[in-house]
Order: sequence, then C-alpha cells, then structure tokens
Amino acid sequence: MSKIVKVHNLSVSVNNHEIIKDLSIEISEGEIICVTGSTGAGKTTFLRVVTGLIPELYKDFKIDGEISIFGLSPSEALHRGLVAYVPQDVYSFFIGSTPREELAAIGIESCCSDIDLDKDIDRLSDGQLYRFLLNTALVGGAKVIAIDEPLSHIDWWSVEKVFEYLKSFAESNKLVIIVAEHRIDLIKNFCSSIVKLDASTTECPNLPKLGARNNVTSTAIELRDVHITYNYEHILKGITMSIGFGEAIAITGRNGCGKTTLLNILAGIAKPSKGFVNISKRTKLFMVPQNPVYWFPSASVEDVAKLFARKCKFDGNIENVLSVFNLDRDSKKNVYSLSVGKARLLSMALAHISNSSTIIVDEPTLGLDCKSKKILVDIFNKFLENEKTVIVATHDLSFAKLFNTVYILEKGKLMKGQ
Amino acid sequence: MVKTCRVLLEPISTLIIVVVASLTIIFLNNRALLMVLFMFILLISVAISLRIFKAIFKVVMLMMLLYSALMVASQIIVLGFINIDLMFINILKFSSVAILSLSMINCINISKLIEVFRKLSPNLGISLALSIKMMKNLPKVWTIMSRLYEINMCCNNYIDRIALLILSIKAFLFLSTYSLMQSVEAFITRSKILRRK
Repeated sequence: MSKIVKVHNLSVSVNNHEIIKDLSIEISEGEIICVTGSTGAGKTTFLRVVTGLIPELYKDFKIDGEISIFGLSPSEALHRGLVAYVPQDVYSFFIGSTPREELAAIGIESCCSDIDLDKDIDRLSDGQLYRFLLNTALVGGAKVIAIDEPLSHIDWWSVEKVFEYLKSFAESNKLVIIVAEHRIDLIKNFCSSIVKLDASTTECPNLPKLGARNNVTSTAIELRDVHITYNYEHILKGITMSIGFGEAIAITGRNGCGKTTLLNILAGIAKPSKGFVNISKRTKLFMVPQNPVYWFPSASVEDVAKLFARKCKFDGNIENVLSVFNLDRDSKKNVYSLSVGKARLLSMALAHISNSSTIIVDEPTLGLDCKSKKILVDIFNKFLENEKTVIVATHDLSFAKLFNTVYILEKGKLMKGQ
Repeated sequence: MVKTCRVLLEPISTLIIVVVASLTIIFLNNRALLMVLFMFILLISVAISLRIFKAIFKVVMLMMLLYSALMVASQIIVLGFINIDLMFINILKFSSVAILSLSMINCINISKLIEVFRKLSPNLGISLALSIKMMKNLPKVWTIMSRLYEINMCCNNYIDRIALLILSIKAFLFLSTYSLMQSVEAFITRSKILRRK
C-alpha cells in the first residue's frame, strides 16, 4: 500500500509556545489514524497543519519539519481539493442556512437521507450537522479527510455504525482518514494506529458518582405538560418534570431528540408552544450553551473571569479558580484562541464564579479529556454539596450514568431511565 | 420573519412574475384597478399560508403607519395641505408590492435559486447562500446572546442593565467575526468543490 501522508519531525509553535514537538508518522491509503491527547494538546492544530489551514489561513504559527500529501505540501494539496476537514464547531462552518442550501452551494445533488435537509441549521442538532458535514466531506472527492472530535458530536448509539461506514469507505475508496479524538477507547478498534500527542492516558478511569440529595425540599424548576411545535413538527410532547434544589439531573438521548430544546425551556431561553413553566424566584440560573461555544466578550481568560467576578460580587481568588479548572496556564490567552474543551472549562469556571443556584449545561463533556471530566465531576459535586442544582443534557451515556436521576428523551417524550 | 411555506415555488419564474407585477402596480394610477389588485394579492398571500400572511401583515402595517406619518408631514411642509386621494393610492401601491414580495420571498425555493446562481458563477452561488445564512442567523444569534447574558450575568440595577447590553453587543460582534473566520475555513477546505461548475 502506498504511503499518502508523510510527516517527519513535525514541530508547530505559536508565539514561542510549542504545541506539537517532533511528530513523525506515515499513513497509507485505506487507513484510519487516530490522534489523541489531553484537552489543548494540539489535536486540532495537527489537523489544521495536515489540511494546510495552517499556514494558509492561520498565519501566526511556525512549522518546522517535513509534511507531504501525495508528495505535495499541505497547502498545494488543499488547493487541489485533495484534503477535506470536518471541524468541531459545525454551525459556523456551514455556508447555507439549511443542509439543502449547503448541498446547492457545493454542487452535491443528494445526501444524508436521515436528516431533514430543509430544516434551518439552528433547528438541527449538533450531531446531525456533524454527520451531514462528514458525509459531504466523504462524497466531495478529497483523498485525505481530517475529522475533529467526532465523539463529542455523534451520539453513543450511532458511533459504531458511523465508524464501520468510515472504515469501509476509506478502504474501498483508498482514502486516508485522520481522526482527532480524546475518547479513543470507544473507537480504538477502528484505528489502524493511534498517535499520542502527549503523555495523557487514553483509558478513562471510573469517575465518581454525583452525590445528589435524595430528600429534596423545594422546587427550583417545574414543567407541566410542555409541548414544542415547530413548522408542524412536534419536538417535545407533554413534558412534565419537577427539579428540586440540590438535585443532579441528566437528560440523554440520540442526536436531534430535542435535548437542547428542553434545556432552553428549562433556562427560559425558549417558550413552550403549550404548557406551563415555573422557575422559582429563588432560582438563579446559569446556562452553558453547546452553541455558541465561544460566547464570551473577547478578552483574556483572566479578564473574562474577573469581569464575571466583579459583576457577580465574587470575593474568591480568581487565580485559584482558574487553577482548579486547569486554566492557569491559559490565563493570558485570548478566549477565542482556546480549544473547544478549554472554552467549555472556562464556561464552567464562570458558572462557579456566578454563584448561581441552578447550573444548566448542554453537552458538558464536549471537547473534554478524562482529566477535565474528573474536574467537572468534582465541581458538580461541590455545587451539589452547597444545595445547588445541576442539569445537563448529554449524548455521552457513560457520563449520564454518573447522575442520580437520568431522563431519556425519545420521540419528544421524556422517560425516567434506570 | 423566517417562516417558510409548505409549497416552494420555482425561483426564477416567481422572481420575474413579482418584478413584472410590482412594476405594473407602481405605474398604475387607476384606483379601482389598484383596489382589485390589492384584494387579489391579499387572497394569494392568505392562500399560500395564513401563518406567513399574519406575520407579513404585522410588518406591513408597521411600515404603513411610518409611511403615512412621513407622508402627512411632507405633504403639509411641501403642499400646505393633505391630499388624501394621493395618500390612499400610494398606500395601496406600497402595501400591495410589500405583501406580494414578502409572501413570495418566503415561498421561493432558495436552494434552487442558489443552484441557478451557481450555474452562472460558483462565486455568485456561494455569496447568495452565505448572505441568506447571515440574514437568517444573525438575528437569531443576537437573540440567543442577549438572552444568555441576561440569564448568566448578575444584573441588579439599571446601570448593570446598560453594562449588560454593551457586553452582549461586544460578545455578539466577536462571535460574528469568529463565525466569519470559520466560514473562510469552510471556503478554503472546500474551494475545489465550490468552484467546480
């Protein structure tokens, strides 16, 4: 089998900060290569170097060493349409406002029978959009496809199916697929080889369970017979739930089942088409959205944290907070230059600073490695100790199982999980 | 107003019909004929989708109110009196064109329009697709951002509320710039596919 991608002693740095050091790999046609590492280890940077986006679009990076695709530089391969990239932030990557418009703009006739192509992209789930972009990358004619953090988007139920398809597609079309992923344990069987960018472990140790209260005294949020209809489609059907102070609740389900819509109702961002929502006067909410990931006013990490501390009269030490959330080394960085995982940790740090009584997090594990997940669980436990409420929506079933109360959302209906 | 009707119309023929009909309405001065046309357009709009008609009607009513106020003021300044006949005809023309265009825009098959533009020039197709995305998404992003800041920031008094608005605007601008950067990333990595006719 011929070697398509050759990387020899690759080092990448930005502003004198080394991100990748002395990386050497060779990838043959039909192979799926999995690149792993901790949050902020340089997985996305590596994909951007392979696809030529660094230095074509991101000019500040310094690249040493050799990298070739079909004997061409990544930039040349990019201009010849030999490489494709599926990013972590899918919404911004779309050119059209619906998948059908996207297909029309890129000149592909049909794709993705499992997705409603005429829905606005903000009405489709992150996972559905990711699968759509993945499909268009596969049929677009590129020979090297870089996929960034697929497991943060694709639900637990579909991972195996998607990767089986990727493997057979790569083999039959003699493609190279490079996957950047921190949760390698779920897909390692599909990887021809695994490249570690740092010394972090790929196996996730058992995370502690969340110690929520069993005897809840008062209600923080209550939903009664809530329905959501959009364009004649019933997204939520008769949801009734009551969430008390000190409770930890996980809502799980497949991509596109309505998890984000339900969280938006709980946070008061969206209004139900029918039904009753009661948010107690004692409830001070904090919402960490899945999209946009970067919802901060641009400044350094430290400045954003200080701004929230000032507004919310937080009297603790900001440096300590950043250290707890593993952001101390990034405190001077611009928030928009953070990796998705680090940006999510910053959102959680702001939730801590805000001293809110109810924390709502959409896809809390998005872009997070094992160490960061452990930090998240510890923080959630601290919230719960202080009788705060934690509500999350996640397609990561192993993370949802850490919660005392798990709800499964299916076909618009909410069921209590075992 | 981003509601799309169930029946999607052929873009080019619809655009031609709308342009011809609008020009006819603009140059027509017969009150009776204008009234008939106005009623006909109302009927078409309701027939296409009552839901969209309701949304359009609200917008057109607001536009008409502003237009009438401006017209009364300018007539008093220029003519010294109010010409009700002229005002009636102009309002009929204005609202007919507005209701017709807005109803049809909501029912045009945008993806077909992008395909047609793309056949003329790939760049034209991409520009159209991206502009439609921006037009649709920016108001939504603003709504989400302002609501998010309202929920997440601790707002105790009037000054806090002003500071909150400024922060939301700042965050919205930076997020829009970031989204644009991501769109450039999408262009570059798919430039070869995007440019093939």
